[in-house]
Amino acid sequence: MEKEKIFGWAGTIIRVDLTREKIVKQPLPKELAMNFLGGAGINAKILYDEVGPEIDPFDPENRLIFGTGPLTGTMIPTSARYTVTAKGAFTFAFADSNSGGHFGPELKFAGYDHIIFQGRATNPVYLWIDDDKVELRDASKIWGKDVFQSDDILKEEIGDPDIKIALIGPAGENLVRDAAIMNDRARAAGWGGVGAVMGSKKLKAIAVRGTKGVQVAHPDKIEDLFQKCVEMMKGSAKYKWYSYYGKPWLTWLRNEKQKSNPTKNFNLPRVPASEFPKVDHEAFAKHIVRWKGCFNCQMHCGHVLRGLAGPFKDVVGEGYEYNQMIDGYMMGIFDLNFVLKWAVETNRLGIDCDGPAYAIAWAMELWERGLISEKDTDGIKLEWGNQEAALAMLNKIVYREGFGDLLAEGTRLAARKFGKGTEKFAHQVKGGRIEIDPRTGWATALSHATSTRGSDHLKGMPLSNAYGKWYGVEYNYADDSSTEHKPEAVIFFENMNAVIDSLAVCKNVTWTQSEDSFGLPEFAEWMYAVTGYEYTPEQLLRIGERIYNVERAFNSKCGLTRDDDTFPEKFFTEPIESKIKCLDRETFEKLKDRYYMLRGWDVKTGHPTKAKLEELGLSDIASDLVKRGIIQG
Amino acid sequence: MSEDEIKEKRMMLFTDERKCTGCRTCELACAFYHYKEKNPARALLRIIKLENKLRDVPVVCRHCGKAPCLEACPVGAISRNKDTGAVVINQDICIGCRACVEACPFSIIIVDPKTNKVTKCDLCGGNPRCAMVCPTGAVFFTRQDVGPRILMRNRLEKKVLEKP
Repeated sequence: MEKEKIFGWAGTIIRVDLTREKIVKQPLPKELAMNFLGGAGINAKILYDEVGPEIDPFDPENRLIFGTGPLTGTMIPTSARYTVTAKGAFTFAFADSNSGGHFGPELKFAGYDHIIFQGRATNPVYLWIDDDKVELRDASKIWGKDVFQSDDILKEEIGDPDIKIALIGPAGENLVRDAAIMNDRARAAGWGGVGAVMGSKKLKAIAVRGTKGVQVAHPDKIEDLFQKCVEMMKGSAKYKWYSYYGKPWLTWLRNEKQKSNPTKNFNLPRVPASEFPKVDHEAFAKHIVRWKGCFNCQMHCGHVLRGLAGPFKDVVGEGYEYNQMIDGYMMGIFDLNFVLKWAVETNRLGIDCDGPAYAIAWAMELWERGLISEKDTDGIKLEWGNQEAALAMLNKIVYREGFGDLLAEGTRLAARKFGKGTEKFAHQVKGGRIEIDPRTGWATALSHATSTRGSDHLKGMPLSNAYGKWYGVEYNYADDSSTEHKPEAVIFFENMNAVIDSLAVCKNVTWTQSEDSFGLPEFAEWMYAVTGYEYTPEQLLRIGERIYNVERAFNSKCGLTRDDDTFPEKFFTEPIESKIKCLDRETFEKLKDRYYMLRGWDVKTGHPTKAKLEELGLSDIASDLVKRGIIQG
Repeated sequence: MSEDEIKEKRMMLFTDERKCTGCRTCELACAFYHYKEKNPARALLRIIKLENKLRDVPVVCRHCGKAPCLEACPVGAISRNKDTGAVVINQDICIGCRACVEACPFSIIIVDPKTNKVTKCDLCGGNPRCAMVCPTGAVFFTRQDVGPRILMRNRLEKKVLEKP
């Protein structure tokens, strides 16, 4: 792209070869921007092109790709997001993770859309981006330090307290498979073990100061558009709940409405009625000190919280979400003071909150069944609800000490290594933890099974009626008991969410969550105002489909097939109180058939077909998969 | 309007830290109004993130009645706008000595990262964009005599946001 004519995009990619200590700036190819938008989309294409199936996640040849979108840092509401993509540390296939805060916009203000890391540094380094100046610096001073300390030391060393930093903590350094990349101290790209990939490259941090800003194509339209959007956002039905309670509101929805909440490693269908008032959204609200928002977000779903009782009474920290609450439930801990401590500790150590919680919950189940004892766990009593044990084990996981070294592998690998039939207690799909019970409904099940990054609700789970609104059909996402329209809805959401992650806005204010909030028509309007390019909503959706096919093709290349799109036995055999009780295998497989067919993929293998890939303008990927003998020519 | 009337009814910016979510929409809107670019590094008000203390503090120019910046300026480049009450810098006169930066008790006189010139809040000519876009009312623009009463109510009601 010619530099002076770009709006929205910054127009530059940084490629950092850590082995050779070489930094190259490349122009963002226009074709890539047009066909994949940015953020998660461009990241996925780069990953496909550059990482082969033989590359281990911790191999220097794996890529760690940071990406902002054309809307990041602009006045479009919630323009705070950035995506990190790599071959995942626990999926051994596609993985990406999205984070908010202030780091993504700062990177954009410095003038960059993407950073690609390859190779491995000899000694720990960090990347310092000061507008046009980009350099690798020695990180030996902060290697081994936790997230908060490292953040402080870097700001001191650089001499500017307002720089934005994305970094790993001890978890990433120690290659814990659930390690996160942290930014703004309490924001995390937590999924996929991208922090461990960063650690494997001996890259401690990326520090950015950006003062160049973003230029937009139609500045005259932006202020009015902004006001209009904020009004629309504030008028949407879920706004009042999210802006006050944030995501913890979901715990009430799941526990009381959908009758399912991951509890005691799925041994209980949900938090028992006797315990729930201690850990519901109202109990949560009592801890709120004030609200926090990511960059340019009017939703402010984050919080600063204070412990109110018990040993964690004095803990004050930036908030936890629904996820940390289910971490507590999973370990049988029904105490929000503990949850706050858990959130602060996982942030400090740079680890995804759920990873260690699920691993510990798995171990607690083993303990209860007498498969492990104090001899195995270095004296830690892994009984349900033991708060001290959970925190002690978290530390052991992060530093890979003793039994923690096994749990640091994540539930799937830990169970595989431990053996003795314990794999059935590891609740995962493609290595990714199951956070929403697939037995609550068919769209939930299908989207969690087919997600390209392992069991996950943010790729394609229908959380609003946007599908019905878009196609003009009767559709009620809240009633997930029939299979009608479900594959169609999941495909629609997968494609649309790919667009959202590539434009880089937050899903909380879009059709992903609320059909009365921003959707495809708004995205097209924003793209025109910001970049000057006229996309139709249909074109955007098509781009989403293209991106999702690239992600799926990467998984096909890595050896995943239709057989990986499934759940552990429990979800097919043990009923819960929901409308569908448990998954009927035949219905589930039929639903998958229909999904692959509608996707234009091979029903037998689940791989994208040559015809489909070519139709989407991905003939390079089609011929690569044919050459590898994965799909037919 | 007489001089006295202006003084009495003059609108001013107020901040309530407890309501600030640290989203920096105000910085973005400020920079955009003044420079037509999305660049909070050029904003004329700041959200200071005291991360160790978990505080986000909005800092705005208070357009002081007896403005230390105005008094510190050796060349008389700083004056008060009669219509808005804003204390403003005349860039044609400013010599860039930064005496005003040091004199400001709130350190909210900015050195622009692009031009290295000293800049400050001008109340957007009487309609400050920061207050217009703030989602929670942490930065608000009101009559000088009304502002304290709003702050007082915020404090007494002990609430930051309305519960749904």
